[in-house]
Amino acid sequence: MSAISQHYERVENTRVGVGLRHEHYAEALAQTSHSVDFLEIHAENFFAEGGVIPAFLDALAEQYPLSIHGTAMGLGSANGIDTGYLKRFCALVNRVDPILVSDHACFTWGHTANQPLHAGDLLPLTYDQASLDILVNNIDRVQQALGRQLLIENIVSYVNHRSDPIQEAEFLAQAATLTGCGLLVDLNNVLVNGQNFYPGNTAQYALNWLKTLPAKAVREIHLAGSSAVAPGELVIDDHAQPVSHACWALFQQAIHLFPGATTLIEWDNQLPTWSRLQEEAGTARFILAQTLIEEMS
Amino acid sequence: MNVVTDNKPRLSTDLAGHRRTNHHQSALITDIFTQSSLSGVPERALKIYQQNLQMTAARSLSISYPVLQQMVGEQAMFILAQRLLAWEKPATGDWADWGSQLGQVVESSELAGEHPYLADIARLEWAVQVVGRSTVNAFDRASLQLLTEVDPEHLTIKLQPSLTVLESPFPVQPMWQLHRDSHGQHDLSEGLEIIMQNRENTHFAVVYQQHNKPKADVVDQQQYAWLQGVQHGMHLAALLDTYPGIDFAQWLSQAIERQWIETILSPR
Repeated sequence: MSAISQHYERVENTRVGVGLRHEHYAEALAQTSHSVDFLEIHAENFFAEGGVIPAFLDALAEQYPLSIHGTAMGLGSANGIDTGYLKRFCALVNRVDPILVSDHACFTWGHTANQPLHAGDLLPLTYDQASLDILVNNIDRVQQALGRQLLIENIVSYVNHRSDPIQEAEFLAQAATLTGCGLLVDLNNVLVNGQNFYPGNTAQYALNWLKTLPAKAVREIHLAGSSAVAPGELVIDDHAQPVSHACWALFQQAIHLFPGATTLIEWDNQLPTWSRLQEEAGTARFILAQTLIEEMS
Repeated sequence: MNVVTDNKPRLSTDLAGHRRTNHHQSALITDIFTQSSLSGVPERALKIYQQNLQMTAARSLSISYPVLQQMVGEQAMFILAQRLLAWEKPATGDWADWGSQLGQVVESSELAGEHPYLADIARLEWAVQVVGRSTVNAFDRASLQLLTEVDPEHLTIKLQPSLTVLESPFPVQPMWQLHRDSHGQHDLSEGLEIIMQNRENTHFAVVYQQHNKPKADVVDQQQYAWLQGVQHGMHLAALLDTYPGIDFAQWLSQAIERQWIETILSPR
């Protein structure tokens, strides 16, 4: 096979998709010609057992390959993952047969005043051996329940982890090695954590972070943008902006490091039009092709 | 795929570490929900998590209670969401399941004095939310045969489990429908007009799912009582005796069309 056809095949085989949000449901379903390779849906938005949601989901799954992204599983929860939640998650995965299934390296389940509750947010783990044991056990339980591989995603943390015994990327690498799970690398999250806690050399921090990961474990990349904040304030992971220049630059590095990883544009707030969102995916595909050409030469 | 395949969970041997992690996680959650500072997490980080929770809770209620949000406005809804967090904690991992107690929160709020009907609007809207996400089982048409074969004393009707009946001193269904259909084009004064036109009566509504969509209809007192009787498992003969004004053939036809009924049951 020639180098050109190898390049063509690699670009063709790398999926680029977008996150589907409620405001775009009708347009996504009405579109007959698709410019994205897949859609990512948030699992909990499709937990309803009846009504219009399951019917919509089935129609969507007929048109697009789907990936299921959980936002509430709390894989690092010391309390474990709620069994009812896990059943609903598994039922959804079985219904859709998605191309990928993912959630976050964070905790969500806990107690307050002896009352079990769900935190409703992606709360940060302490990166130490005890948290790693908990995360590994929970991932194992979920993968057994699903009967398939789960990807775990790095989060933005508003807590400084510099003094944690294990660095975040190493922590995720160990989780992947111990469980066989895959990794979903959110490049914007790496950059936001770098901006908040490693200012001055964020790009180098992010690149070192990526290089710590076992390349074969990285199966998906998330690209996003965050709103600017005043100097001295923490950057919030709001997914309310186009993919930043820094994120596109890091994406180029990630393409080299993690060949074949699926790519997703994540835009959750202050949503653009459906066509603008697809343009962003087009940009990702262009950068992917261009970077691979550079790699060949 | 290199997924772990042994079925035994690998319990951590570091029980002290597990306890410490559990304690820290619970402390952080408590800090976020109760504005305390047990976890040692820096204040500026805590503030972000607290704000995230407040915003997510308010957004969640605006999705579950779109009509109520139209009626009271975004700011009032934000405050109600904060108060609801103290009454009812999210517990399932799906924000759509959170919010069942909002009617009580509204009832105990400053809004109740001038707008006492809002609590029942909230209760109706929560029923719509729950019913709209519930499974509706296909009607067992073969069970109609029992009506000709079995004594009505031995027949009961099984309604869809999600079907809900509500009673209120206010005409909440027409008020709710007006706002739902108009997408926020009406203000509270138009709701008050509906109340003034209907102030002498108690009002009844049934919430159900038809063709995958939740619906709320007005019913009269006798239809309401009949539906309650059916829900409580009264047999058909007792229903017909207690509510002679109900034309059963007509009711049955309408109930089947509206997907209210799962099946007709005989103990035999």
